[in-house]
Amino acid sequence: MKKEKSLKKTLLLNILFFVFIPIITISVINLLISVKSLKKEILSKNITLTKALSLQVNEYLYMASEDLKNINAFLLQSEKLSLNTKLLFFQNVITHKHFFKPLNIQVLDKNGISTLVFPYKQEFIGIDFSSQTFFKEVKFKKKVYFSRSYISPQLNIPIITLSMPHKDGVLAISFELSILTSLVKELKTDKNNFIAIIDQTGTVIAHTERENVLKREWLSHNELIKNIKTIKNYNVKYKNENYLLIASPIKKVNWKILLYQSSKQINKPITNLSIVLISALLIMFIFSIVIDFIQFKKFSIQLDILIYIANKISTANYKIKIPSGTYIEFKNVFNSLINLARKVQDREKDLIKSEEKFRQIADNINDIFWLGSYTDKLKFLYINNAFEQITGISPQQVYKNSDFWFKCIYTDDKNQVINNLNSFINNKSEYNDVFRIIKKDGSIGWISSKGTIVSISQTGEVRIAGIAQDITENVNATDTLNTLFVSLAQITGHECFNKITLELCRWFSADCAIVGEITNESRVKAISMYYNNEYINDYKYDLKNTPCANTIKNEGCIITDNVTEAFPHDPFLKDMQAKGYAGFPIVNKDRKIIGIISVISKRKLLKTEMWKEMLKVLSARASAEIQQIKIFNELRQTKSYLDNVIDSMPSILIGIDKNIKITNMNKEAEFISKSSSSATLTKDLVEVFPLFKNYLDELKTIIEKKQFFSKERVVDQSSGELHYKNISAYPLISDDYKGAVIRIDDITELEKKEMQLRHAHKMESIGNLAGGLAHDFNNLLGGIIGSMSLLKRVLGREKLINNERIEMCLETIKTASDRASDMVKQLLTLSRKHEFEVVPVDLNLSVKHVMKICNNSFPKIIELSPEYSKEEIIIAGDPTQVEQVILNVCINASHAMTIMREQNEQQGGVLTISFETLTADRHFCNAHIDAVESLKYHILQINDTGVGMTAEIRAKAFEPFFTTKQKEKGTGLGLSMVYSIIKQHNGFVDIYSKPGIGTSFTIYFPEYNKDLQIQTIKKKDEEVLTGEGLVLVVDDEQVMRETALGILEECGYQVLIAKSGKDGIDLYQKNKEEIVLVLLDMAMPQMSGKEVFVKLKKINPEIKVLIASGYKQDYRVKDTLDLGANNFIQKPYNLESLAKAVYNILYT
Amino acid sequence: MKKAIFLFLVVILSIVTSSCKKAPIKIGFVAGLSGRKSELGIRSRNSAILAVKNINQDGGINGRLLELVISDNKDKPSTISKIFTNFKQANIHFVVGPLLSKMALETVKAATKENILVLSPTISTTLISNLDDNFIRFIPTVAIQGSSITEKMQSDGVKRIAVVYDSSNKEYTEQVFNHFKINLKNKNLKIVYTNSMDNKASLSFQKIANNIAANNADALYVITSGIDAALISQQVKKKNAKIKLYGANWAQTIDVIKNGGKAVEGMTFYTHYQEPTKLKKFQNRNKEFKKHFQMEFDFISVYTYEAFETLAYALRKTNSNEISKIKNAIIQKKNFEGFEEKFAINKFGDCIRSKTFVKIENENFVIIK
Repeated sequence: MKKEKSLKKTLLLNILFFVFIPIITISVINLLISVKSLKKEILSKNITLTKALSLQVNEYLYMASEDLKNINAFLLQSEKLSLNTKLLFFQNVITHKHFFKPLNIQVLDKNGISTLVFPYKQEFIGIDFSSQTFFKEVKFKKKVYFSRSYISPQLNIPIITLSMPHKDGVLAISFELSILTSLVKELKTDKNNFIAIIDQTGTVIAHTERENVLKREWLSHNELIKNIKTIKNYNVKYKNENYLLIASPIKKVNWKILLYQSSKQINKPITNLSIVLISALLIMFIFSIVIDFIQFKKFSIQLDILIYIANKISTANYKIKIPSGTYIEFKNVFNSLINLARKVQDREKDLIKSEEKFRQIADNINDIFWLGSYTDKLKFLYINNAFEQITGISPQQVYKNSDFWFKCIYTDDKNQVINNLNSFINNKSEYNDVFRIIKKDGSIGWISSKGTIVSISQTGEVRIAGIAQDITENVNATDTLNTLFVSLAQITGHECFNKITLELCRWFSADCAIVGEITNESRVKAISMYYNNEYINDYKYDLKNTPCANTIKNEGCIITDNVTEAFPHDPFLKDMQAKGYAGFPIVNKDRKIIGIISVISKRKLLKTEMWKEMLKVLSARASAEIQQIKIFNELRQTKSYLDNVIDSMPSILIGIDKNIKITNMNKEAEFISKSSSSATLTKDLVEVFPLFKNYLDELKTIIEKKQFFSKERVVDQSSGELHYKNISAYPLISDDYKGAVIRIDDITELEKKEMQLRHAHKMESIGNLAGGLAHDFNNLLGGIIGSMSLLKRVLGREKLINNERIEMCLETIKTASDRASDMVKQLLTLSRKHEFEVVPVDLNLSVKHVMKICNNSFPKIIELSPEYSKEEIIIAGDPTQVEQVILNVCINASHAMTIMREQNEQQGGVLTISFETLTADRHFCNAHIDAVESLKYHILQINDTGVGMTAEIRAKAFEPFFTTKQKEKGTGLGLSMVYSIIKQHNGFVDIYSKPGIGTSFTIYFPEYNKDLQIQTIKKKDEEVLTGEGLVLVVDDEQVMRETALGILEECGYQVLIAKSGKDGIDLYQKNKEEIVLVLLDMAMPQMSGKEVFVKLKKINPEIKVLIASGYKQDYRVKDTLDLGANNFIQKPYNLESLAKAVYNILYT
Repeated sequence: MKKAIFLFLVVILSIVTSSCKKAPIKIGFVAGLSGRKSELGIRSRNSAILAVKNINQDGGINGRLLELVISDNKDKPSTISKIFTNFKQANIHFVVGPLLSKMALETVKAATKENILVLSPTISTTLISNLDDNFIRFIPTVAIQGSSITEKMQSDGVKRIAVVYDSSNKEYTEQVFNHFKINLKNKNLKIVYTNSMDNKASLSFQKIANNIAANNADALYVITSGIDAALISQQVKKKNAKIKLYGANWAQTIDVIKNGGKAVEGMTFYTHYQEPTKLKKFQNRNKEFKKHFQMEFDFISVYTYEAFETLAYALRKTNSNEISKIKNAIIQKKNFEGFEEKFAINKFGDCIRSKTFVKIENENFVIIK
């Protein structure tokens, strides 16, 4: 809004302006004239000074050039004079000069080489000056040249070189310029100015301060005055101070004379004058301000009174008094205002009377009467008291803001009211509307409103009058309830509950309604919750501290107002800021309370007679629905459980009706029949399970007579494979329904497992037998090998080894022993007591090794076709043993394709090897007794196209000493070893074979487990280690005792022999001081090695014992080592191994 | 009324803004401006004046003008401490100069004490190399030239060498001479005469020349200023016109040519400075320099100018007068476009430029190919 001008401020500014401006103007003009005159005077003085200096310097330069010319003339004329005469002349010139003093003289030839110098020094003769600028300039221009100034290296003063042509060379004289500094010092008139002379580069060559010359100061003002032709003046800044600069050129050498006059000095009188003027100005200003202010104040008071009177009239205060001593103009204005006030007062009185009459009539009406005007918005001009009685809103609030009227309209009806009003005004028709309002007590009321247009002004303003009637009680009727019950009867389940909550909200005009189920005594779970116009899921609450608890207790509850205050600990009520609440319990047919139905409102609830009826009926409907749902859920769970039980059975279960048609079947039945339950429904049993075609009569009988039927080991080849099955059938016990349940169990795998178990036991027995034999045989072999190695060493030492015959015999014994040892190893393999090194073995690599052997040794008519895996196939095992397995199977395959064939048959065939990997699942484990579920297995498949095996042969294939080959071709140990080694590797093997077709060996090895500890193979140390001391040998085998005796004595030890554990203990007791070590056999009759060790340890806890046994993995060996035996040696041992074992205990 | 207030505000505002005009950034300049070797300082100072003028003409540093505060160290290291204290009191954070290596140690000390960043155009001593100090320089260290020149001498067939070095600037000359001596080993070269110009009062270049001739030297290596190198060469050439001349970088100024005449023709330098006569930027500056100061824009002027350009870059980039920020800005940029070619400033503030052999030919320094 534009701010209005203030008369007082305008007057004040005008006075200030018109007083101040003339004074300032006059003062400034005066000041400017004075300044100009002063400056002119100072400038004139300085110009005179500069000019004088310029003339003086020109004079000096002229004199210097004259000196140069004179010397040149002298030199030209005195060519024939001696050097000394010339030097004397030069000396004379220098001595008598008072201006620029010559410093040195150089005469240069045409090449710039010095021929004569003064002061004379021989070394300066012959110096080349040809590159110097002055030489070049003179040579080129053939006239006098003034060099730029420079500092003499010797004298540290500024100098200048003048040069001119001399004959065909150059004459150069250097002049010192220090006289210039003296000159400017003399001319310095006061401390506020200084004078400088700068050369053509701007470098100071003379200065009031000599230091500036020595520093060769460069004056930046050179740029400003570079090209001046005559004397000029400038305002410049030098070292942060302002100066008036007067510059005068010296044209001959392009030097400048600069006179700096401090501006401060020039301005000083001007500043003084300014101070006087400003002071006078200030005094005048203050005086005029005081006078003006008094006048202004007087005027201002009159103006304030006028404003005060006008304000009084505007607020209907007509008691006005004219102030005395005022200006006549103000007096006239006051009189006019008083006349105006009186007329306004009369009119106001008439108006008040008229209005009072109108109000008396209108306020006595029970219905709302209102007057309004409408331009772009409805504005109320008058509303009677009935409005406030109904709505609680005072008319004054509505006058101020029409929106207050709309606040009392029920939210859902607002649009309707606005639309109808707009339509009424736009169409200029009658207004007629019925809508809801929020009444004074918070309840919802119904209003019937009617209106009409009173007048329309030229500006478009529409005047309206209207009446509004409260018709609430007429509108509340029971038909709403009836409609609700009808609609609820048509819906079920969740839809029904949602409808109940929605209708409750509507009916009670509430904000929230809940149908809840009591989950335990203290908690309610909402089945349906309608809140703030939407459904809320999964709402649960505790009954404690809620009005619902009262509802349950009192079988119904209504709290029309202040429910939050009544239940302050109910968080929901608090959040909602609820006021009204109504609730009713839901009871089941046993009169047990199972839930609750409740309504919550942010406003007061209108308590009607029907609230309880309404809630009761809806509660009954909710109860019925809850119970129905509960029954349905129980049924569904039961069915699901039964289905689950049936489907979980590993047996096949089939339900049939009296016509032997399938009514139901479990998952196993679906799996076996490869068809779904629904697809087989009502199909004939025989059609789906042909197995029953022979038992149809039996099935019919059991249905009719309700008897039990069963059949074991029924052969079923319907799948193409042979299966054994147990069948049983049970009649249904219900009298209403005739039918039966059939159960089928496949016992094929069970049969197979039993066979495998039997075979395993058999193999175990044979293995143990062979192992026992091998152990004894091993001991005997130990004696042979030990004695043989001892004999060989003794003979070697006695130099008898050259006897070839003895040597040959020993070799024969060794070869025979080695073969015997190999056989023992094989036998031990069968008994699974042979020890082997467990390392990661790559099956690919093993097969490659075996293939190499097969390639060299198998007949060429056998085609080898190995398919190696691209990835490493690692198992944990003994590589030699694994290769032995593969080789044995391959040899068998080779024999099956060659020597096993009939003479007339075509020889040869294909040997294929392939790899596969699988993880054992339940089905696999069922078929393979040794398989471990979830373990990963590498499968090695070796197939041949040989003669194949019958089922009988196949059953015995792994038995030791069983062979179908000719006597000399097979020992019957090959496949036994294969079986045994695979078992030791925690694997297993399958044989599939058909006579005339071929055989397939499927070998399963568990995948290598990285955590498995790898046993490393140490290299054998062949060195015989000797020692000394008494050694006790305890062994029940005489051969072994003697072998040990021989070896130990050979190694330098003394030996005591004990043939039993008891003897050993006695001997040790007697000789415990001398005995350094005991060699103790583990497997002894009566007292085992372990028992002997325990007793020996008691005699001497520090005893050193080496235990000997044929089995490293023997638990007795392990136990004895754990008890503190020093080490173990495997039988049969030889000289080197026993010597080393004893030495290691005693000396390392 | 409103208009009156508005006018009043405009007047006040213009007064305030004119009084708040950005204060200039003061840059110190220190060099020997008086004394026998002041020619070097004068050239550097003139280049500084030109650089500041041009930077200010281009708008200064983000609207702030540079103000050059010149100080004369009289070629005496003892003056440095006081000069730097004065600079600090005058609120100066950056100083260009000094020029001679003998000032190096005092300068680093004073710069550290007063926390001032020094940008020296020509101090080349290795005494302050590889130090993380407040010292940035625009000339590479001298060390290598002493050794490299021996290679050249060997290829030139030199056998007997005379060396004249100026011990008054020993921080420079002795280092060059030491490297020269070290690299002589295993070469068929021999120093037959050495003069360190110790006694200035009785110094005679003729006597030096006589001694050189008496020792049958076939080469002279001068590690002196340009003027001294020229004057010695003049005397030496009078005795032996065939003697081969070699000079240190210090002497590679216009003075050696002006004062040496034909005597210095052929003098060889191993240098980091090849006059970039063909480059437009150099030509313009040379022209401007000659116009203002009637002087050649030689390597001292070039390196001084480059020091100011580098400083201006860093000031613009950081918009700060904190010396650590300025130093970091220079070190981080590392590579700069100089007059002759690109040069680099390493993390210690030392300068890296490529080097080559030049000789004086027809009063010019020309690259030996």
